[in-house]
Amino acid sequence: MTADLAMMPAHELVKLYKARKASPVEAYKAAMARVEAFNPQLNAFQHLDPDGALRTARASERRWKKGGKRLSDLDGVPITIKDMVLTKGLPTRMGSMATDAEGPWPVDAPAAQRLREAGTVLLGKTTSPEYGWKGVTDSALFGATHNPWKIGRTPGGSSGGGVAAEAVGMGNLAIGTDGAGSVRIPCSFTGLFGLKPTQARVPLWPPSAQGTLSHVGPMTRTVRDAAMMMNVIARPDPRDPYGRPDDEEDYLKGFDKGVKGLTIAYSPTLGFVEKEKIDRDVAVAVENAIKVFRTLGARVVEASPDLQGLDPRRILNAHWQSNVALLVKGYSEEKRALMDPGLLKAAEIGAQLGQEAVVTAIHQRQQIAAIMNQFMAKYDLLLTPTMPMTAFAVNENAAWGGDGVDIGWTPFTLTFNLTRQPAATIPCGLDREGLPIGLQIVGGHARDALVLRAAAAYERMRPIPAPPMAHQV
Amino acid sequence: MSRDLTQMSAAHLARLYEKGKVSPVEVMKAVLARVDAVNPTINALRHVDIEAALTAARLSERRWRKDEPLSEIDGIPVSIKELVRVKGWPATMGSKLTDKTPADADAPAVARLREAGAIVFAQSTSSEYGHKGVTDTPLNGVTRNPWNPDLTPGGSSGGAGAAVASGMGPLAIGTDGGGSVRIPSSFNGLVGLKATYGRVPAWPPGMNGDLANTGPMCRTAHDCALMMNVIARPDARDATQLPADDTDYVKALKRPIKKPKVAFIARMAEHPVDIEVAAMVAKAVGQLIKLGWKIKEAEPPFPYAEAGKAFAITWLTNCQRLLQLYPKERHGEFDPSLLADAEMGLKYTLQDCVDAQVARRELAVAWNLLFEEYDFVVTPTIAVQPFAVLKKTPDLPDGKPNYRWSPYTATFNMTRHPAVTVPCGISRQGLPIGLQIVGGHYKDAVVLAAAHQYTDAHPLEFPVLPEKKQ
Repeated sequence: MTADLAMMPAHELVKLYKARKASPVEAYKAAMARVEAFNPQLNAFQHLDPDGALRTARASERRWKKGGKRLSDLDGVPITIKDMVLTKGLPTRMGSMATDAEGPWPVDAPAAQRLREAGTVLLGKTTSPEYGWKGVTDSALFGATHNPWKIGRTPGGSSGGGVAAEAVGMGNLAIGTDGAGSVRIPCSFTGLFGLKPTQARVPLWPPSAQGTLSHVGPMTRTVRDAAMMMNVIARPDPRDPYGRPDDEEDYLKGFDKGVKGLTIAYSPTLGFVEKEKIDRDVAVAVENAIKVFRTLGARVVEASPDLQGLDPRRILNAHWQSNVALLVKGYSEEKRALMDPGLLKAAEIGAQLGQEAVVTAIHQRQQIAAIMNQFMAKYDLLLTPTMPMTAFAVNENAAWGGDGVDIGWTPFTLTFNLTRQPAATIPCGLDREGLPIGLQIVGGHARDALVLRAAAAYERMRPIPAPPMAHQV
Repeated sequence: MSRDLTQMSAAHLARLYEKGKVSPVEVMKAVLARVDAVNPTINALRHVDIEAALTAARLSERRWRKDEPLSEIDGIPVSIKELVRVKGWPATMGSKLTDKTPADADAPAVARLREAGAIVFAQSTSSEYGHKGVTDTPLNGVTRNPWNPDLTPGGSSGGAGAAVASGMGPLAIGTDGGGSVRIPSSFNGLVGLKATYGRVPAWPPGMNGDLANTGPMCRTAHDCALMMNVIARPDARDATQLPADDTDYVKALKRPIKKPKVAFIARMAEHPVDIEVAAMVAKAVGQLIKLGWKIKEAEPPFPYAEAGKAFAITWLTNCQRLLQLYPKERHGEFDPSLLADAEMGLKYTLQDCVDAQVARRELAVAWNLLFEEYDFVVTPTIAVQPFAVLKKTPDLPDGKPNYRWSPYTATFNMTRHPAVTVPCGISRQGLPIGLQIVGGHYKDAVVLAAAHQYTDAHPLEFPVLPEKKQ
């Protein structure tokens, strides 16, 4: 029974709370049992807070017992938060030996604060590579995090700890961050749903080194759970000066309306990714997913934006490399010696870029965004592969043997960090090795709810499977 | 009250159109006559499309006769700053170097104005690429202030400000990357709004990215609201536009502003403020208190020195791109001051540039938190009164150049907050002085309503400009 609570979608779990068939303390215990069973292999946590979580679970249990006085629709649901998001009283190390192990940690970031106010039970902080710098998850601080679908493979990153935990029930919900794909890469690699919302729809604070490339988003086992999280975390916070107008959007409104009658663009290459770089199993799985949307009554047309020779990979590289150059410079030489050599290399290259190259990249980002906006004006949604490949070996800095300094191996995700559009990934099949493949669903600005609605329609036809490991309790 | 059609607000003209007392053709002709009389001196309009203006006026006249106007500004003449694209006119940017082929599309604001039936009749002057807060260029020569033609109308939307103040069309579109709507609005006795970034869509992406805003410049806050009802509407070409909303900016003017909590920031730092500007703004603050505003004196929440530095680096490194866009052998055709700025931009390192971005984020957080505490911030708009033409900066009392004469405006380009300037008095030299009212993000309608409340209680008696030389 308790094992089931841990793998249960949050929206079903709270129904059990309501019916008094389960309690937050039981759900907490179920999740902790899975931490004990799986975390030694997966290494998904930077910090666990069993005592704090138990106290929160008990408090929630009291609310549910009284009946009706709950703090939100997620009251009492066990969650995890990535090490990149500030949490009051719990260490935030940014995956780095260079940060202070003694704290203090006096304040919550907006998303963490909203989730606490909502009564969720925070189990702990999940691993990230140093400052989320790469699309895999290992650090000198915590070692490598593994993929629950195959030990020895990376769960992707940088929110790799969050997905490894979420996939096997170490928490029912997870929070990740996404500066170039760090929610969508790991969700694709571990077979989860993940949403990078419209930029700043989930407020951020303190300002990220990656500026408006940076996003906070939900990583979940069902689409509905992500919509419920958005209802909690996508609320205004004055600390984010890029925060969007408060629209009081209910992300569950119209959630079940399906995709019938929508006009959807399908772009297998997004107009710039070389076909030979896309794994054939990925290409086939994505093609098959497109057919599902047609079956559901959407008008799907194959169309790619004309990027007029601009390459999103180069533009994003210039942004993030120059940003980490500054980040690293903020540390003393002794501290820098503790940092990931790959990150230091990226910073070194960033420092050599030259101001003109970076200013040009900033302007090209605006051009790409204007092109994509005009493209999206013609369609309700855009479908692409999430990743060109599936999970590769741990302790590699990037796919294809890359050093991670060039982030171009995740071209489909990073494009929408540049444009700030909402983009989700949903599992759409397994490759020849049994590893998950992701389909990316992209919307126009602020159309997060439509992205969720389309993903939910697809999910009803193709429910998201758990990794075999999750059944081995 | 003047019967001169060129001295009336757009709202007033629209009422006369509605009653059939005046027609758009009469107004257009009066404005064109005014252009003939005044523009040779003021040089605010670099191009006037007489034929198209009269054709548009006749079409509007027919619509009003049938009682089918396209909007409340149908048939109102509006000038467009040369940094904003108008189909059929070259996108000159105040530069000799630009391609002078006519543009093949309207910018979003222009497209909306046309759809609303407004008469896009003239292109107003700007400093080259809007790089400075005054308006003279190798392309167009010197634009002058109708309050005193020896003085600058400010800039970079100097042509727009001088045109509206001198009766060459009651409405103007300006752009504001560091104050370029508010400076000339203040220097010409107008109401000018820099809305929340993204509220008024723009295209194509400009040199100054998300510092730059398209905005209305008018004789009254009501006219600004009429324009916002038209131009603050979505356009897919702008990827950073805010979500569409159906705010009625005119209706919002009538919503009472009750006892707002307000921070008065008299100085951004140790910068000298002209004594009359300081006195006039203090007087205006007193008037606002009488209107029920709860005003407290406050300090800027972020060190201005750092903010100003971050702004300068962002601005100058953006200018530097022009050197890449045009071949070196043509660089001599730039306004020497723009060339100097661009070359200075090249000297900044990547480190400076990223540092500036980081400072901008911190600055924005600090101001955002201040707007949690206060409904509005009021400041002088400009630290000085209009100064002599052909100077890029005014002089300090000791004769040295005062580089920081507009510290109040650029801050809110960095933070993206909505900021409006209203005239709050006339100096002894007979020059208008502006008060700036700033609000939290997305509070554009409320900020305009606050401007309206003040100007309604304390209207500026607008003389017919330029006044005859004595």
